[in-house]
Amino acid sequence: MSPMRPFLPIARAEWRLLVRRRGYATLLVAFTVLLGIGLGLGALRQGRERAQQASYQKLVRDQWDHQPDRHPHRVAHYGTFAFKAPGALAAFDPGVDSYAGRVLFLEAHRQNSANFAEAGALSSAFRLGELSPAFVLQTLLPLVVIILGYRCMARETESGRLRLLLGQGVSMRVLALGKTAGLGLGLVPFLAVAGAALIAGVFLSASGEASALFSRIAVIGAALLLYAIGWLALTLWISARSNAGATALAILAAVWAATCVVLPRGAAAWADARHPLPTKSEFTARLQDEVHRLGDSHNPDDSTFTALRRETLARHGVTKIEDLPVNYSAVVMQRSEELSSGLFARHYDELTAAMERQNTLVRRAAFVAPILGFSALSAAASGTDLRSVAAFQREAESFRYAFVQRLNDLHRDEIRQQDDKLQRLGAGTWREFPDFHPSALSLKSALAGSAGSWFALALWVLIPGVALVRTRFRRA
Amino acid sequence: MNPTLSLFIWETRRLLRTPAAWIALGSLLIAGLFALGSGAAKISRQEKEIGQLAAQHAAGLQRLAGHFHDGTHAGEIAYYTFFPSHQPLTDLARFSIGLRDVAPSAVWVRLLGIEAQLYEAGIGNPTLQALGHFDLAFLVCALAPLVLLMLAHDLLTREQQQGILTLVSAQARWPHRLFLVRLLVRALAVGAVCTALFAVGCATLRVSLDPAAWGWLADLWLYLAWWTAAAGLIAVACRSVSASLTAAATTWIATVVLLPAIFNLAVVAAYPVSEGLELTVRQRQEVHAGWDKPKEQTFARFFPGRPEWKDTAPVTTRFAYKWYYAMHEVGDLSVAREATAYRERLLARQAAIERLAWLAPPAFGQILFSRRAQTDLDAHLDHLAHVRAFHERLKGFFYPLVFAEQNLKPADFSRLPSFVPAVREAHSSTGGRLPLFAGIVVLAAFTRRKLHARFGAARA
Repeated sequence: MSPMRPFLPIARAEWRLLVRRRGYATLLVAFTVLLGIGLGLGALRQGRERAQQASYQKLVRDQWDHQPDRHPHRVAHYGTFAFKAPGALAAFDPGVDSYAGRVLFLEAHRQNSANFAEAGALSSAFRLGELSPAFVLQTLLPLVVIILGYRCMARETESGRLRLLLGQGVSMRVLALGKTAGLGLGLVPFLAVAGAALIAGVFLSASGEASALFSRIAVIGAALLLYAIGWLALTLWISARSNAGATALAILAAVWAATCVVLPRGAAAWADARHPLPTKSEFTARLQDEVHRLGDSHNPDDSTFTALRRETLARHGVTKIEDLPVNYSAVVMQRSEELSSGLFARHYDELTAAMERQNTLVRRAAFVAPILGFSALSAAASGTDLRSVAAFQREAESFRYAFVQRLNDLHRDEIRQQDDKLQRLGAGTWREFPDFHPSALSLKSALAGSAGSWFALALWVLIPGVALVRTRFRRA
Repeated sequence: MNPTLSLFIWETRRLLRTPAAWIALGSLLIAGLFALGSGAAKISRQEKEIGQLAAQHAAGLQRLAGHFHDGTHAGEIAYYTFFPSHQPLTDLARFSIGLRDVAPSAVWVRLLGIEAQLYEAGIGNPTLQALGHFDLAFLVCALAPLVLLMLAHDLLTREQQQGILTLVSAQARWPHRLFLVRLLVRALAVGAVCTALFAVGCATLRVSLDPAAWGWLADLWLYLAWWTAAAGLIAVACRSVSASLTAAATTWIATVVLLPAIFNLAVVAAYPVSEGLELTVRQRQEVHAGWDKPKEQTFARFFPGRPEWKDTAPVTTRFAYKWYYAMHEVGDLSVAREATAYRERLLARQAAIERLAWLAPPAFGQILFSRRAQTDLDAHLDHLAHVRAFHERLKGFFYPLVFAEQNLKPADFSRLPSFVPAVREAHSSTGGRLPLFAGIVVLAAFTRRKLHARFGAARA
């Protein structure tokens, strides 16, 4: 007799037992309903947010186009806005979207912060997470696996059937594999519902190209599968090592609470204390300090800009500013914007890098709390992680720079130096300015450096998997 | 010796002999020390920021003084001077960080339109913010109940499983009392760990034991009392260890994780807050429209609120500071409705959250604790109102100078107003705790009924 022969009957028996259990259908329905609510309300909210963002973008464009005759520098201070739209798959995984500013004012001379994050308007009472399809899969799916599987092995020990089976020549490995297959089959409907929610989430969010969306689904789906299989293997292993179902349940519930609730917060606190960010006041003070050292761009006689004056005069072959064919104060402002924009970029990049350091630490914690690996991959693929927020900020800044410099060009070439501030440019000038169209961060750059998360998930499958296959049941 | 007391001592000894109890209580203690450290680290950074504000402000003024040795128009000084304002930290913020990780500690304002400055975001890593903080309030709200349930759910079922429950209850003269003493011992053990952590926090983190701190501790015990009643009901109502374990796990998961997540989504979906965006866009439009309008139009909207300046000389030049600041004030006025709507929207949302939190005691506990620590939304909105009032004080100082076209010299800088945080009492009424009290009474009544059903009416 082949040692693998009882594999199929064991798997089939386990599966039958599972799906005929009273709670099975209830659990599947509850799981589906929660996913549905999360997806439905999430999509509603994302859709509203997207519509709102689009309507404000349109309003601001309208206001822009209907400006009267204005001096270009006046317009540079009038500025414009960038609105942050929800990430590509925000209806599936809102990620950090609630914590990111939604409106960013773009003006001359300064880089502002994005304000009005959803979280600032929320009590801390519900900070334990927001029901979304991703939350259901990350936090609740493990519970489903535990509930379905904790008695799987312990039952045989408890009832004494184990001795019988072993006596009939069934090897421990075949028994474990059979049970795994049976439980896995029982989980298939749950995973199918999860997959449907994922795909529905993608189509409800629907932004970006279809091919990119499919790779996003593939990434999240693969991470989900690893995550679920890891929980399955862990559940069966603990069940096999326990002499009673209740013991297995207690241990698994404790592992779940530790890895899904406690450790993620602990990791965040650890990262925060380990790599503290500068405070807003410190950051602004340092930045302002350096900006001030650049000189005052509104004052053409500022000593910092004497070299620029020499250079400009030489380029146009004149000796006096009054003889320049271009507007010298605009030339100064242009240089100043160039310098300050470089400073902004450096300081904001440093800030983002500091946050990335914190996130690296959190991602590393995925080796003890696999949920962090899954959630990092899911948010990255959904375009709702720190990186996409930072990418938005960066794109808005480069848009701001181009927009201010274009106004400075107009100032330089179209406004005479004499009576500078009394002149205006026609209203039609503004209509030629482009709109801000932030592009979503590509999946490839979103996932750069995520090897650690994959590795953590792989270990999460491997360690309990190997332990399960090599396990010896506890003798009752 | 009083039989109840000796029973109590006997049960305490018994609990302390089980390794599982040591592991559970020890983990709670270690997690609690970590929570204290994490809360302290976060809040001390904010304290440092607040502590540096005066020096940063002075440095800014010094730079200005270097630029304008002989003084310049007060309007120009006002344009370049940012004034710090901060939301003061209570000692208890170390125990309950609340909103303090997303709301900025300091807001810098100058004489320009306040509405464009008030809502400036702070610096924070959204990933960490989304994961949440690990403070003592989280430990008490989420982890302490977990430990309590672990220790208490099988008070009866374990012995029933072992077949000795009838024996035990036959020997005890009052099986009810035996059960209650057991429950109490476990609740006190968990409460003692939490109180010890509170004491360690007070001692090492310089938390003064004022009424607010005692109130925090009282809320802690009240909250644990709710869980004790819940654990009692689970222990008497279930007939097997796996049933009581399932009931305990379900209760914990539902109230700590699932319901708050559902409520969070529900509130965000039902109360969208778009007023902030509206306000921002509109304010900018109104302020800048002022540049293109005849100056009289701006003043016509400015004077009704500021009649004291209505006899000021008309502006005939292209630019005048008094017109410039009037324009900014008119910009603020034109979004006053949106600003109120924004605040009211947030309060409505908060009210909905508090009502929903009745169904999820851990969320309710978070609300109680952050209210005591003044790290809640109310405290933040009050702070914004104070910043607004401070902005009015800036106007009170600068307007007379600006409208009189006066200069300010560096020597005058010492007269500039500075922000003084208002002393704020935490709103806390016993009535606000009604849901917990009511929950305790209802749960205790059910427990009593089940207890009687199981052991019959009290013999004795």
